[in-house]
Amino acid sequence: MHNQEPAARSQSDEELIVAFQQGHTEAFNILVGRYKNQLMNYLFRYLGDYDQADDAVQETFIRVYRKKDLYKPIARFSTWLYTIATNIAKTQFHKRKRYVSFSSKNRREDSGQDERRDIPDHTSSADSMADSTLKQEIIQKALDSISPKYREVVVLCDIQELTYEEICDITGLNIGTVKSRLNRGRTRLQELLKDIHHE
Amino acid sequence: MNDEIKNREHADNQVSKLLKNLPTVKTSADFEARLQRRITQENHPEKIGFFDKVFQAKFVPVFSYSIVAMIAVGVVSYYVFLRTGVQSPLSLPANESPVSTEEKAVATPPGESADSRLRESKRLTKEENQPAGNDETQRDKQISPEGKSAMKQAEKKADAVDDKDAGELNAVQSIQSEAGAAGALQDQIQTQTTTKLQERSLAQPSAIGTQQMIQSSQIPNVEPMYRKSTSLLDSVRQDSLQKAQKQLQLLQQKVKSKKPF
Repeated sequence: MHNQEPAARSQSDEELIVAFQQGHTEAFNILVGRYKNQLMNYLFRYLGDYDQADDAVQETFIRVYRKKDLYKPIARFSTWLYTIATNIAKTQFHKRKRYVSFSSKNRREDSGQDERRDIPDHTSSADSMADSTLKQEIIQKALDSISPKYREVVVLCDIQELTYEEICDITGLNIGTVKSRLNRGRTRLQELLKDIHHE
Repeated sequence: MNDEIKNREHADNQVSKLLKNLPTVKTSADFEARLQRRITQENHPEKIGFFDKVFQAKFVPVFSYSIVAMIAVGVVSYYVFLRTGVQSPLSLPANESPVSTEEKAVATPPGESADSRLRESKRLTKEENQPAGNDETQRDKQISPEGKSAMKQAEKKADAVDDKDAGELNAVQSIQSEAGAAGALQDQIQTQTTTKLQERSLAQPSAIGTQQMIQSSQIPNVEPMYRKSTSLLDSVRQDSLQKAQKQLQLLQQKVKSKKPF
């Protein structure tokens, strides 16, 4: 059993989903472990709310579990996964009332752990930490204020670091539209974040 | 131109740098456990009982409105149909049952009939008209043939009158019998009402009014409804009796007047 796990973990996403389609539920668990944080980060940046993002990630994996047979090995598994997550996020975004809810703590109370977001801050002073937290709040607020269609592309490109081709597969847009929206989104963010730039 | 493009690229790079430097948001520690629980619930859904399906919170307004509507319908139907449908127990039917032939036979005195009376009257008239034995032959010899034909005609007329009288006597007797039957019927009605009231009093012993009604029905002068019916019957009976008496008198006069000898 232990010997099999490293072998399973070395398999590609496509191999794992095929194994899952054949009835190996352990493959599904491995896939969940690989993509849960990525999806959480993407959906949090897109929706602006932790609980909503958590619910959306759960819903994404449940849909993968239910509709596993719909995946065809033609496209990448990550593209298929991000497409499902994006659709769920758009549905949630349209349902709820738009509000900005960004907590500086940003942790799960029931987890029992004081989990915080990873802050790549090299200084240890309290002022710098508070400053970085404040920056993050401002950036998230700026992201929430731009149009969802620009935000989607900006987050996928600049935060998730996906290629233009992958963004085209996920959003269903052509590459020209993706670049155009990316440009406009960055321009808008630049205007909103000009005070941070000067610091 | 190149400066603008460069500036723009520089700005874009700064924005993307800021975004890339944002910390990665991670899931909670129990994320996978919760996910597994949801998947298990989907695979094995909880069976909801029939009553849990029916008596849900969202159906409470519907049930309450339906109960209120049913109560309103019950109250309205009670006041409309039940309270206005009560009738007086002493309301007697207007049309009485016709007197049967048996009652007529009972009403007429036994032994007497119109035919027997007619026979007697004929016998008497014949006895009066027919003297004893020899006298008849002598009389026949004395009477002329014209007189004989006249006598025969007179006899025929007398027979016709007798038949008429018999019919009238029959009518008189029928009227008398009807009057007697009316009286008997009146007694019958009285007994029937008293029995009915007694039955009702047994069914409703607490009703004092029924007891009073029984007592009043036995005394015809007390109950106005019953009094009206008895007075009507009495008046009819009296009228019929008077008519019969008058007709009898007329018939007797006729009979007396038409005696040739």
